Amino acid sequence: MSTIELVGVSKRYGGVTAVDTTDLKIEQGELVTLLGPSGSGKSTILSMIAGLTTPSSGHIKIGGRDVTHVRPAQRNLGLVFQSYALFPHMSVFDNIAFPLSIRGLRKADTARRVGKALEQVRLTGLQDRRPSELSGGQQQRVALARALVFEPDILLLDEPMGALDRKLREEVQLELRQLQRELGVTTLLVTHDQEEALSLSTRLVVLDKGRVQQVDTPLGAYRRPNNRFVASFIGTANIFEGEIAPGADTCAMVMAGGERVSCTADHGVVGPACLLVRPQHVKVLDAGAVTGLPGRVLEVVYFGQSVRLHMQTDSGVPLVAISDGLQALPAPGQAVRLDWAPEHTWVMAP
Amino acid sequence: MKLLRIPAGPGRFTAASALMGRAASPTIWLVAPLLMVMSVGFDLPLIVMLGQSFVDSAGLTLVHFREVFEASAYLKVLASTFRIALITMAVCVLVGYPLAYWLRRLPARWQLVALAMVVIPFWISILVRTYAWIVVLGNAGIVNRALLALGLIESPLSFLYNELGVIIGTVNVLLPFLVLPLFAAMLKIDEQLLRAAETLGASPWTVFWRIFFPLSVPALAAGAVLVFILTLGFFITPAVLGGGRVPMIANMLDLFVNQMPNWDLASAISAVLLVVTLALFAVYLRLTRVGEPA
Repeated sequence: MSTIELVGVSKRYGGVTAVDTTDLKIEQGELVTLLGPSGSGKSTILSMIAGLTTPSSGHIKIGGRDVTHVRPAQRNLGLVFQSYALFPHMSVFDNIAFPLSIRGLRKADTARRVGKALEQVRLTGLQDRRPSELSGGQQQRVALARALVFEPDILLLDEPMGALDRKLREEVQLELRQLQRELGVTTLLVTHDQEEALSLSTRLVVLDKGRVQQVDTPLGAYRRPNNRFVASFIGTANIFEGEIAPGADTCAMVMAGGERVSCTADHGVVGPACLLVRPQHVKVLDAGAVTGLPGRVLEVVYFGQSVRLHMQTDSGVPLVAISDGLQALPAPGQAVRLDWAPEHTWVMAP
Repeated sequence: MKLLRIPAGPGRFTAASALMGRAASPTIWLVAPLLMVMSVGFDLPLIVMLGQSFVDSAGLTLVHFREVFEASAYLKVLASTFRIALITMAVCVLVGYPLAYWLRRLPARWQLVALAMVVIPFWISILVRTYAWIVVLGNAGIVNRALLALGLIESPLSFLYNELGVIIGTVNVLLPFLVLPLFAAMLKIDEQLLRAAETLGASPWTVFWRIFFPLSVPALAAGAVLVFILTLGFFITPAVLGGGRVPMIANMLDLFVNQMPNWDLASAISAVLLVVTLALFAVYLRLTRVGEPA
């Protein structure tokens, strides 16, 4: 149980910067997600913490100990690979017992701890199987048990649900969160799945092009994104570009076409700005309403528990609204007015 | 009406297998001429040849086999052939494994170069390669002359015309048969497994012996058996590099067929060789099947 600290860590391959200078601190017992599209540097960061990649600069500390030049074997961390990397020539028992046998544990202790680990991941009774005889979900849990059985200081998970189907993924996510909380092990998870990041983590680190874009709680990153990238990567975002006039009138943004849209006042942005409105906060009004931006419905998509309306303002900005679909729905092609409450908006520098 | 009640799944299956059956019969007619040539030109003579070992002027007999197993000379040649095959196999394993391992760890570009160096001798006639060893290792060969010139030895070392010469020749010819499949199998070992073992606390030594080596053993064993089987049938190498002093089974058969001639005995010895080789081949098949991922 430890903290993880990155101090000025970067990684360059030739002239390409995979990870720009990064500082990050993960507290004890946290479950932090590195979230970003492919090529954002999230896997490189994980790999550097695991010791499989050497950083070009900076220091990595685990539990306060500088491990920058320590071999992976000496870092005492549990790593679950995306491919699980189970040893195909060993039984489930031997796979999980592997880290224990390296640490010279006695047979009886090994059997007891492997038994406990199997119980934790609900695989009791499957210890004699080969990995190839297990389902994807079971293999994933063996990999998890193997990474946790020696009580590592930290747990690293590299896209651990990547190979699972959607339904199984949700189940495993729930289990993983319970297990992580129960054991209290500091965990770093890499994913490109924003739902996974939002539902699992205590905090998330959003990455793009090798740079940290934001470190925040899931709620914070969703409601108060630092920039356009974070806003559109987490959830669906409607973003308007415009300008906020200096002075007292900070509660409105003027768009290129001259339309004024209302926004929160407490943002501190002056000049060019981006305004974020989440789809569930967009109110679709009758064309005859006195407030709101004039627009047009393009498409109505029914999702069962919700309805998605794809629209466009008359000035050409695309916009999505999500409603519960209980009230009467406009038809495609219909003219509407689009409005929102100022407190549901968020202003970012462009 | 009854037909309609058959569920769609099995119904489709039946149709598919009927289709396959229909597709299979013309294929047989296509390969039939080749099959005929093979059985008449190859299998039949082989069977007739083997049959001869069970026959003499009086009818069915095991007398030829008794002769093989009772005369110590034949058994000695058999034993020496197996010993040479065993040593060749061992040397190929001891040289080939590190070579394949080293190849695997080379950067991709150098891998190509090194592989070419392993493969190129494949394209050169065995006869040429065998005689080349005389130029290199003969009494007046490059190695002996160099050693004499350096004053390291007083008289030429006899590398050739003994068992050592034969083994040098067989290893040279057969090493690629072990290295190439072993290298291919090593390439297939997932690098992530080694990294996973490392993060779990294993030292490089432990990673090799507990993960890498066990995963490469099926290919190694299969390659070793292949080398062993191939050595059993070697003719040119013992004839040239053994200088007639290291008879192996093939050379003995040549003697019985071309010089004695004693075809019955040759046939009996061939039968023994065939049975042993088939038994080993069964082992080889078993090992290669183990090597395949389940």
